[in-house]
Amino acid sequence: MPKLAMFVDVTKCVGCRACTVACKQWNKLPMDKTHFTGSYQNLPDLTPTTYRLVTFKEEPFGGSVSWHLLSHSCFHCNDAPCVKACPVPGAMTQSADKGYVAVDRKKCIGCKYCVTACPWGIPKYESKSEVVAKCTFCAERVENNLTTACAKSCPTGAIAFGDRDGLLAAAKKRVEASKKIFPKAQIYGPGAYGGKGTNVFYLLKEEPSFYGLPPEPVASAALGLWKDVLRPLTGWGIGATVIGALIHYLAKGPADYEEKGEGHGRS
Amino acid sequence: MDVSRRNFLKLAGAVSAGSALGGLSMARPIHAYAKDLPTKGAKEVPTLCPYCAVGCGQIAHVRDGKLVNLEGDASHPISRGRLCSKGAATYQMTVNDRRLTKVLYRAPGASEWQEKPYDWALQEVAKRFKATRDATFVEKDGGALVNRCDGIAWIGSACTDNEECYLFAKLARSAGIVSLEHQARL
Repeated sequence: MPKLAMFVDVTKCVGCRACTVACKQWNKLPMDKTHFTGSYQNLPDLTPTTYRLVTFKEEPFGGSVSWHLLSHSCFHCNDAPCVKACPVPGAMTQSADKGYVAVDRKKCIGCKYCVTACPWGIPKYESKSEVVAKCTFCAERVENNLTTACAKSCPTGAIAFGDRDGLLAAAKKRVEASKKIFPKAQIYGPGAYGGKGTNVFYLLKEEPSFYGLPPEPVASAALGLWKDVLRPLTGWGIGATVIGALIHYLAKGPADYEEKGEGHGRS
Repeated sequence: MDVSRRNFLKLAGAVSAGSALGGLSMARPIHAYAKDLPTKGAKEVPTLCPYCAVGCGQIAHVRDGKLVNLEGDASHPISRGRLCSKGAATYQMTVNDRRLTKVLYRAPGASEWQEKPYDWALQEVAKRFKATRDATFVEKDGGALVNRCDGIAWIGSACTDNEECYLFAKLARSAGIVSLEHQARL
């Protein structure tokens, strides 16, 4: 089974927000209270009940005004920092064959390690239910050979869903064509984490920082040190201690205690 | 259980060794989700988006007479499964706890609104529709056969789909109504 991906082409996005509504509808998420901030953008950021959001940015462009829209949600990273940070087996997991990352809200303990580990701050902690919520890549749809709800809904085809290699090739073609109008056009996502990349990637019109995205998303070094080095080392250390103690027991026999009435204390 | 210092140390050693071995298993946990769709076993009813004149196709998933999901119809020639933000929200038009379940009725000359059930309202509308139609029906105008009803104007809702609009138009035309309009054009 090839890895599945979504390719978001912001040059095709018209900001209709069908993706966010389709997401809300499929996941049966309630509305979030919002207020007018002077922009067409609905909420300032993702929330535990808003997995997908279109950000609106109005900027002068070529003597006119251009609308910079970004329909974003979880990037579904390969080797995802949130999965690595999660201390509960099976709470934040990555599908081995399809590549998406999803949180099991029944297993989540609400420690928020994933919230701090994510370079984009995608997982959101819900204080009411005391668990974390984020885009699930429509796991139950994808497992039943359906497209994600947002990709299905998108009227302009800005969100494409399919196998990762095919979409990467399509993205490379699109970026060349887009450069004629948007000289800074670039693909964002596949190059993250030193090439391991993400399974949701973007064709941006401008630099990633223009959209408030980290240009080089990285998992925190402390997380790597803790989970990849210290944790196995501690495990081996404890194992070695036990084996050492066993060898000592076999070689020297049981400790020789002299009972002195109180029942404790080495002679 | 008599927990001596030695026994306690043995137990502690066993527990830490066990947890260490558990921590050593480097296998990444794989998702264990319910693989069933929430729409599993639901009847798929093709319908049309009620909102605008494009008429995008929709699939309504119905289980036990209740709408469980509604999304774009991928086999529809116009929309090919896509819906706009308004069309994608059609589900909540039906399943919504803020939906009105009673009508407000103000009798002629009365100043207060009364809560009435829908069935009563439908009966009342039908009764008055028939009475007005019979009273204002014009069969001939200057010798020409016209068969029209001048006493009633009909305004359709924007939340009715194609099939409902068809039936409403049929009913209005059969009653002789000439002033027939749809709310979306107002």
